[in-house]
Amino acid sequence: MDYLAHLINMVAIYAILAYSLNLITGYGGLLNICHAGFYGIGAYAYALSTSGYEGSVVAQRLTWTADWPLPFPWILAIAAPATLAWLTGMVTLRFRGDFFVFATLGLQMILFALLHNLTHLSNGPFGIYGIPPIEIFGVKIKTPIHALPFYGTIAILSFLALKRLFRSSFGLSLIALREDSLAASSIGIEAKRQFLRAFILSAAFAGIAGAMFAAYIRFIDPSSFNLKESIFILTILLLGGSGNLKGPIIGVAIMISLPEALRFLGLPDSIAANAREIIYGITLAALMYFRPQGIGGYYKV
Amino acid sequence: MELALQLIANGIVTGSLYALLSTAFGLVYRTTNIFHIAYGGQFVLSCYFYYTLAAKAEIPLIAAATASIGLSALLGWTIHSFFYRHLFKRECSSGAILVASLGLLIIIENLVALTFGNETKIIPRDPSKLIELGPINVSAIQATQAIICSTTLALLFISLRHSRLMKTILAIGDNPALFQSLKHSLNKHQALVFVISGSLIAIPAILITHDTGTNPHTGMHYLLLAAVGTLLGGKDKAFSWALGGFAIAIAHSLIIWQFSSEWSETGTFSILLIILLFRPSGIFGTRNRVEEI
Repeated sequence: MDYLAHLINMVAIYAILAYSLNLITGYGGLLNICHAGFYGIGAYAYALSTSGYEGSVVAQRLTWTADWPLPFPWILAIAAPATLAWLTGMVTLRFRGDFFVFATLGLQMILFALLHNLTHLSNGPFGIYGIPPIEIFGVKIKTPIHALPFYGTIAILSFLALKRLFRSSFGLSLIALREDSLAASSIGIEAKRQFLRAFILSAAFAGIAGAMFAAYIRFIDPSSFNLKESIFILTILLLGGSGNLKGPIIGVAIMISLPEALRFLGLPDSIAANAREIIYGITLAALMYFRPQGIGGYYKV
Repeated sequence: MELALQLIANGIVTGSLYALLSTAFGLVYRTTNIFHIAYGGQFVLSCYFYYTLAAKAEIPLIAAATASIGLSALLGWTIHSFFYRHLFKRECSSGAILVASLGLLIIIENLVALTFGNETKIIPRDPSKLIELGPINVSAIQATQAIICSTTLALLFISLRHSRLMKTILAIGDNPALFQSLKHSLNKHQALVFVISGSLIAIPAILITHDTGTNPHTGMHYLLLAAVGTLLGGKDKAFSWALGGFAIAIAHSLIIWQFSSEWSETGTFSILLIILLFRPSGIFGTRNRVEEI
């Protein structure tokens, strides 16, 4: 039962990641490979602002930790990646097409290097352990089953918020920019401003997912937020399909259950990791050839 | 001062390797407009061709190196004819080709890891002799690397300038439709680009493997170096790819000197982003290719 609850929690986290990436990649048409970077910044913001409790081992090694009460770590986890996206978006969004992909790839490498190398702030490759569990109304959420209702609620709320965004004039203006940026700008849609908004919002939602991940696993290290993770999130979106509401969840369901299905096949651990990666690679290449809009998607890459 | 000189010398040696890598990437990017991420996979496979031939099969080094270059050229042809050509036929967008290419890199990297294991493989060799040039020390291997890479680059640039075939190849990138209407075969010439680029990748791959060994996960690292070099220098001219490669290597040396090697990748990308902000077509680029709306 715990196992199933755990899977559903992971689906909740990745659904938020996929839907938030859908905003910039599916609706805006810009392939973004630094989503894991923002996800990681959110996770670290949450972890640092909660790990400063008395008797915390990690806190002694770090320059800044805090023990903020409930809503504040979440606010920081949203604000930090959003601010960062605002600053970096002004640079990366000057590019379109392949150059945007490469600029975000560079950003991903830089964010990972910062998490990995700034040992006084992030504890480097050792990561942050002993993150306290979430406490709501005096109940500590420690097991996957306890986390399930809470995480389910956050995921559904985020989904509803993003759905509103997708259907708002803002979402439609992104579609217009994706389809024909010249025509869109001729009716008064400013490409840079709309894309910057989409970039900031998608980073903010990635921050929520990051906080959920940190509070749930209670240990984070930079390797959870590297380039591979960004590619994984992008694969989810491209496999399920982007540019509409049903695509991302199909992708999340498949990509989260795939490793579990492979585990039941009984591949030895040494092979399993590589075999999984090969399947991701084949998926990406085959998708682009046979169905660039993904399984249930609308936007063709 | 001596340290700075030594670091610049190291920068030039690594620079010649990076310059060749960037040139191999730039050649494909300039002529076919493919953002060739699977390049990283070609690099890794070239390393393992050489490793298998030199360390496993114990073939003499020169023969092993020549055979690896041949295999790598064949690999370039294969990637074009069985992969990119079909994507072109379906008229995939450049974003789709980029993602498919990323997929191919992941496949190659993990197939190599499954076959050879994830750990670093080293080719057993005697310790390299040191050559003293005034205040600078260079190992014999480093000297060989610099000489082979610079010679290859020189030969390539001479042929790009004087050979009719190479000029034709560069013309593909300028206008593919016009190229075909002049009765040149787009397919054959593109395949040739991949063959040349494949054999160019193999040279630094072999030299690096021989010096420090290799593992299946180096592909992405060298792809990024090569791509940054090309974009930094500018996509349009062949010499700017090479200069971009040198610029990165020297920047790396300076970063290692002032900070530490951990920051070299951060440095590379920061430099690239700053340069692209002010000169979107690269340092030596001529045309604005970023926002052709």
